[in-house]
Amino acid sequence: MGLQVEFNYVLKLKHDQGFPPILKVGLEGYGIKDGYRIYPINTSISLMDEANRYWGTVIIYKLVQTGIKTFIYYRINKVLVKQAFATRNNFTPGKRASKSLKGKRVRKMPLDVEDIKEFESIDWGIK
Amino acid sequence: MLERLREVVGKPCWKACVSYGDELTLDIGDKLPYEQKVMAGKLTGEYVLGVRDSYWALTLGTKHITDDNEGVDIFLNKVKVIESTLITDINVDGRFSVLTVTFDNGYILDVYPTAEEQELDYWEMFLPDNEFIHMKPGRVLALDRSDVPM
Repeated sequence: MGLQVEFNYVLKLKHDQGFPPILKVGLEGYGIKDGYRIYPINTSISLMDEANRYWGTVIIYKLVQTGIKTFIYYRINKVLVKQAFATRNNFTPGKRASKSLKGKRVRKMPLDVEDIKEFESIDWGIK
Repeated sequence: MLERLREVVGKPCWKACVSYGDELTLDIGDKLPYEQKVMAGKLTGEYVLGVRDSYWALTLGTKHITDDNEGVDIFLNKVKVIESTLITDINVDGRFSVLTVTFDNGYILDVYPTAEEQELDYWEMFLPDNEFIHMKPGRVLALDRSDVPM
């Protein structure tokens, strides 16, 4: 019995959960995650992809709980890559790539090799 | 409203150029003379898509062709590849409000509403009969008259 609530301090999204199609400051959208989740509102928190890579920060300005899903409305307010533009079908989501994405036409985030090296070299203090 | 937007599907995109402020503009459909005298002899599209305060990118499959970040002298040459094509699809993504235009040669134009301090429309599509669809600040789609004061 009772209500199970998950508290989060970063926004981690898979592409099929609403990871942004491009990383541009000002882009708004929403992600959908299972369960009842609480996030910091109206403050800057980190944006992570499914491979636990940090890409920038977002501001969550609205949360909507439906009971089994949480809709997270966010706006990108900082991007840490020099160039992140949209193309399709060439997404390499990293070592922990979701098999469910294979063969599907989804909006993807191409990354310059140097960008990936740059990010992998950052010590985020998180194990 | 999306039905009105989708009127351009199957119509030719015959000109890709820039307007004031180096904003990307596509002329679509029939070629019509301007009504203004100062534009006599010049043609405009039956439909005109104008990107306003947004980031846009042109892609072909997995290849990034050009985008708003490139200088106008560079991207203007690159966007010529979508001239003399047919529009095969146009849609607005419900999650990020991205306008996507697909051309019959495989190129895809995505318009992302990304302005930080939004005052202008993100984009606008002028339709016949003095109407236009625009994405207003707040990512709201609206169909309005273009022949009355705003």
